[in-house]
Amino acid sequence: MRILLVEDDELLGNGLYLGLIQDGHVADWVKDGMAALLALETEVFDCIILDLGLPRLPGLEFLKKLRANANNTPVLVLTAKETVNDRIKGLDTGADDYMTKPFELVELLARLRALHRRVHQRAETTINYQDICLDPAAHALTVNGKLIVLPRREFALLQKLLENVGHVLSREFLTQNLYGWDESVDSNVLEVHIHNIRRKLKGDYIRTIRGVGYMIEREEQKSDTRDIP
Amino acid sequence: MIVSIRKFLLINLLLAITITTSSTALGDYYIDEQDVQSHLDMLLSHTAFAFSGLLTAQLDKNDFNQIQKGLDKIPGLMQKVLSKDNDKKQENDETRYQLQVLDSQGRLLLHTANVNELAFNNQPLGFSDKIIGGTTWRVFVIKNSYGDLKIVVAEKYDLRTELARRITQDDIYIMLLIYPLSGLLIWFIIGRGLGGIRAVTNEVAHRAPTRLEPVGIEAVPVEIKPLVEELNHLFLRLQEAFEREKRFAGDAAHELRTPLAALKTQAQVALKTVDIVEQRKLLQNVVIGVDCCAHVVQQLLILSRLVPEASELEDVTEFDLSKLAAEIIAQIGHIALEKDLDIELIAEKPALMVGNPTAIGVLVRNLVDNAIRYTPEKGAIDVLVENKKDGILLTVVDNGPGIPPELHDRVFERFYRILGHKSPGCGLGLAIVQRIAKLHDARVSIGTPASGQGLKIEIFFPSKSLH
Repeated sequence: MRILLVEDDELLGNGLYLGLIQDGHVADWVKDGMAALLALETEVFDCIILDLGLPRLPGLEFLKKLRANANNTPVLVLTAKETVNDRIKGLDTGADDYMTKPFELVELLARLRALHRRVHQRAETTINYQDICLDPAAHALTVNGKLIVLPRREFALLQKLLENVGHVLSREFLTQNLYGWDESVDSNVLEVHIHNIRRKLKGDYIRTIRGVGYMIEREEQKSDTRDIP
Repeated sequence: MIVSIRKFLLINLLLAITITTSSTALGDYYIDEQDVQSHLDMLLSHTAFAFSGLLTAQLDKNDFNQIQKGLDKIPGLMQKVLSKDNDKKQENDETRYQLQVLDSQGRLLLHTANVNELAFNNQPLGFSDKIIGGTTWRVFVIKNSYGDLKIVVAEKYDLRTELARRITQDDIYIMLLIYPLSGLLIWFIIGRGLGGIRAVTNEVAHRAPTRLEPVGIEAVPVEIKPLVEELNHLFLRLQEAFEREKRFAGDAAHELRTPLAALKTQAQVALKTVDIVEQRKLLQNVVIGVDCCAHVVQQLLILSRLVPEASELEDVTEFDLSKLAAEIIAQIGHIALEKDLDIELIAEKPALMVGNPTAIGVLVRNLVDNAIRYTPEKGAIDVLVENKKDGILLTVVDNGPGIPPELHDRVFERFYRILGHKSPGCGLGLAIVQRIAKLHDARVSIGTPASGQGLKIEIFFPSKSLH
């Protein structure tokens, strides 16, 4: 997942940033509300982690502006305020989830996955496509029941494609999703990742749309009957 | 020591009433007796005059005999007139009055039934006393209009004192009845009078410990109004203290959440990290986080001690600010040296001022500490202490990033931190500085140094004398 982290505290921001990367996400870290708005003008994120006590543009103001711009990226709010009223206010302003500091990192990551699942309207925690089964929480991928190990970026790339089955994803969009701003990207890095995935999956699940990007084609009717015993 | 106002008033008022009424009764006894005497004297003389009026014509022996017969019948007539239950007293009364009529030679012409002695024939005209056989008589003597007859009326004294005694006795009975009644009334009146006190007591007694708003003063009696007002002041101060404690706890909880979250996250990432070098870096961050938490707690404690109601500075002495500043800089100077900062104290000696040296020490430390935190490596910090005409000026100048003018007011707010500062401050330093300055009536001004780069904070301590 590509995550925008909005946190002004140096140490907490740093810890969260590292924790997100460690979990296989692509994270971008900004330290105030204005910078966050700016980031959202140019980039697309799967999720936003928002601290409420922000300088320049307070968290709730940021949230209002975000929703006013018809941006419905899921937002997980982090705050030091723990009263019920604060939580209600946060949720009513447009937050999708709420966590009080100090929190468990693993719980935060689980909630991010849950938010992401809801956005893609999935009930199952795993993504199934033909004989591929991808479990974002466990970071596990099986094809035909056989475990396949993918590096985190390739795992994320495959997850993104599987979440958007039937849609062509542009090279720019995919690259954005794999790399934060401060990472240098070679022009052919996406081709290398796609090549590696194809090689490891031993099957041509991913279709190249020349000059545009990549896609995984929609399953035929068989996906509808597969789960019925 | 009076324990109960009601008891005190009851006992003392009853005592006062007893004393005054007893003296009244005693006075009455004497005055009444005199009144009774003069009243009975009047009756006595009246009888005598009436008699002399009747004996105006020239009467012969026969006439006197006729009258004497009538007089002899008096006891029998009285017996009939007066009720039977008064018998004994009446018997007694028969001998109490004497009426005698004497001729010019002193012979007894007429007399009441019981006595015919010539006991009163030598009595002078008018009122006089006569003792006969141990009994004192009141006697009144007149002559009739012709001057040939002497009319004597006499009455026993014991009857007269008996009458006065009976009046006094009745008075005493009434008083004995009145005392408990007054006691009861006093008890009720005092009770009602003390109702105001009881109302205040109830109002205070039934309060929850957290309910500290003032007691309503409208219905309070004037006598205890000052007490209630003082109580209200105390409530106010207590409430302030409570609020402050609550705010401290709230602030601490709130302000520690972020550094604690950071600590936890850093530690959890460290646990999952395989790379030793990376892990080490994360653990160092954990240590920084702990320092930050400790710093927040310490600053909060300092701020909570500099509370508004401690506006009276304690332990005020005269001390040398230059010397104090030198000591403080010596204590924390090593941090400046680690950052390769050029820190310099330019102080006039001595710079004597009046205040609390410990508090001023905290002020200087916070200012210098802030300058060290926010000035980048190889920067310069100057601390100046100058004697001015009417006070002492402390200036701390650095050539760090400074503070934009529009934020100059906000930096004194608690927990205000300026964006982009990477130093682990908690936003309380300048709030503490301002609080201490205010306690010393000092003026704080914040600005940009002449060089146009950095931050200049000036604290001006006006001259004060030590009381």
